[in-house]
Amino acid sequence: MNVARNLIVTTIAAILLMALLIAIFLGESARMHEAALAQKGESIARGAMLYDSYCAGCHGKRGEGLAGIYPPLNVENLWEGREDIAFYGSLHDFIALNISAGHPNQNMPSWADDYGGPLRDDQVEDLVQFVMNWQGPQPPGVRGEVVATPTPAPEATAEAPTGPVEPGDPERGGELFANTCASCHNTDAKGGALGPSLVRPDIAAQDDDFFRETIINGRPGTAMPPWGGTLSAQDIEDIIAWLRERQAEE
Amino acid sequence: MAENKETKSRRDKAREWLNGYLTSVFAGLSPQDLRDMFRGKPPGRPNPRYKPHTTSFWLHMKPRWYPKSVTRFSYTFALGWASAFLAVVLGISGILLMLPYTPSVDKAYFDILNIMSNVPFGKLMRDLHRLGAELMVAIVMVHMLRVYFTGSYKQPRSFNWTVGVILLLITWLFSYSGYLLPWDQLAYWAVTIGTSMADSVPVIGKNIQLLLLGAPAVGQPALLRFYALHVIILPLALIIFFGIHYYKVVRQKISPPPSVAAGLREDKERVPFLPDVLVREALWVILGLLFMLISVVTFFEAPLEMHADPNLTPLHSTAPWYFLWIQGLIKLPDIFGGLVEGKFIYGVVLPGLVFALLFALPYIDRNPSRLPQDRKLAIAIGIVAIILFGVLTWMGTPAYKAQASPQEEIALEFVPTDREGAIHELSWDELAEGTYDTETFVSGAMMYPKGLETFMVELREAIEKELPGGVGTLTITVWQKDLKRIDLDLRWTEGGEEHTFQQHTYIHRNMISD
Repeated sequence: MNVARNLIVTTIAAILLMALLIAIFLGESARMHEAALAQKGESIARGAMLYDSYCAGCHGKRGEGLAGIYPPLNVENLWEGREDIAFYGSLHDFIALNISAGHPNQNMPSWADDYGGPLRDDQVEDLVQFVMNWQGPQPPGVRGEVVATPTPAPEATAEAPTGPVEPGDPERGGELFANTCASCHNTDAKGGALGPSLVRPDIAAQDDDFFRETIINGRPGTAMPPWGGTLSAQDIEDIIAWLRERQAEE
Repeated sequence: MAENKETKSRRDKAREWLNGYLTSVFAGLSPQDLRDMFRGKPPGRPNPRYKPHTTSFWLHMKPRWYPKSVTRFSYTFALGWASAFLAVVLGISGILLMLPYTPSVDKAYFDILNIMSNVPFGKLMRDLHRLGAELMVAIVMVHMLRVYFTGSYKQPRSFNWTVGVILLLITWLFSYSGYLLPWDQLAYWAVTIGTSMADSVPVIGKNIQLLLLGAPAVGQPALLRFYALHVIILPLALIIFFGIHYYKVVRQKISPPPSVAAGLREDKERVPFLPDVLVREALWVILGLLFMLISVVTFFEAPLEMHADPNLTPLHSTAPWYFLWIQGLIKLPDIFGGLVEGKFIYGVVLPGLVFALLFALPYIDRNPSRLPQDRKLAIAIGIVAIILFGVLTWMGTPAYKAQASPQEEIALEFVPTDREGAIHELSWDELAEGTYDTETFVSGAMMYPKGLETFMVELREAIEKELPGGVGTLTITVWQKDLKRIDLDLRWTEGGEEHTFQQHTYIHRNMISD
């Protein structure tokens, strides 16, 4: 048994071990912080599931409530306009108390198992976190505003271009395509680095509305931006007409 | 000149004192002896390196020397050593985990959450403990196999084999009792299934289950009982039986390889413990720790499901992997015509029989030879047993006879409500708001975020396989700040009728690590 070799390898391995332990030590504070944030996020997600089962029936699927009967929960500030409530604790505790013990005279049952309800204290806490997540500014659509088409990010403020349109002119469409679209989709629309081929059979099989929708609103999460604010409705018809000619050639 | 002599003498006196002190610390080995030892100098006469084995507590447990043939790694694979190493790692990480943990059904789960996010190195300790536990069960079982295949359980070591089987039982109980402590769905239902076999025992079954659980169902009494088992009862039993086991190993010496034992070859060479084996064991300690730490930092994580819920049995509940063979057994058809429950025969009698056979092995196998050529039957039985264990283990998984309906299975794989699924692999930005369905979804065109595309393609393939002609629709909605709702709708036709199935879940931005 080679003692000298073993001693050397042990020493090297021990140094590696120390280095690893130091790296773990240095990163631990940040990791704990991330973990705490993740746990809070999970609590909100669980609260959302519980809300669907237990609360949405009265307070509405999106927390909109029922006017005059069940208060809305999705408002920006639950305290606002509630001068009738004399509560000296935090909003968190107020919500937790309401959920746990209910409002006997106002049709709000008690939900915590301590008061005869079906929920454990941690489930009540998850619901509180979920309701509190409605406070403050929210992305569009959350409070039930009507949004034209599914637009996720606030920067996609694409307006649907309006106005009467003539049937598309392929020649004009070709020029528009060359100036606007070819940089990603290539001059022959057969696709480039950033944009797919627009003459492929499965894409060509889509109807005109598909193309209109994609050009106006873009494709969130990909490189396709919304063009609704830049191109007019006629521009879009012309481009589609040119594309249809190219697709027919395939 | 007289002053120089005095100063020199004071320094000499100090050095003398230090040498004497260190010699007593190192049980009779002077610093010079130690230096010579580690630098490879042969020992003088009389050999000072054997004295510590008489005078030192720790070293009196270790042999002075080993026959060379026994030290070959590929003979024992150091499995017994590895079990002891893991026991120490588990003990230390276990004690550190005890400090922030309360064995109460109201607190246990949240203490685990706290350990993972608020106790410095808490997650590290938990992951190390879990990894150590899984490795321990595996290594202890492989150690048993090694001892079986080298025939080391034969006389004069038969008693020690029996002690070893008791240690195997202790290891399994350690792992099983620890399994319950996080009080999550995984823990609760694994133990509920496991202990449900107890009450199938005729006449005394109900009382056995009461003894195990302290109540008719798994609850606070069970948690306390399992905790007491895990932190004090089993550790005491371990110390006693491990003490006996290791004492016999040192006194009777590790069994020589079969060819040496049969006199077919000679082994006169001795490898001394100090320094050779000591240095090698030190190397193994460091390598073992490195392996465990690297595993825990890269791929290994102790799982934690949702809080235990007695009203909600999760799909695909399984026993811990080393008990899957029993779960496989109880899926076998009940052929006992109602005289006894199938659960009793398959879950209690057969495993009991297996244990009895293991215990009695040295007294069943009377063949005195340890050579493989003289033990063909024993080796064949061993191989068959391993294969049987593998098959039964597979049968214990949900893949065998425990699948839910195709639509539930698809929903479970892609948009599960209580665990991680395919949808959780997407990044936050890839969860683009919108409606996507498998019929009209266009793939391979960079039209959708990559993760979403992969998801939809896999969903389409799964539906084609399990619900032919069916369509799946995925809807992603921004529900609240940093919260998205994921809806999965499945529609298919069966027997001329339209069927639908829906499942939804929520994902918060912070749940996804970027």
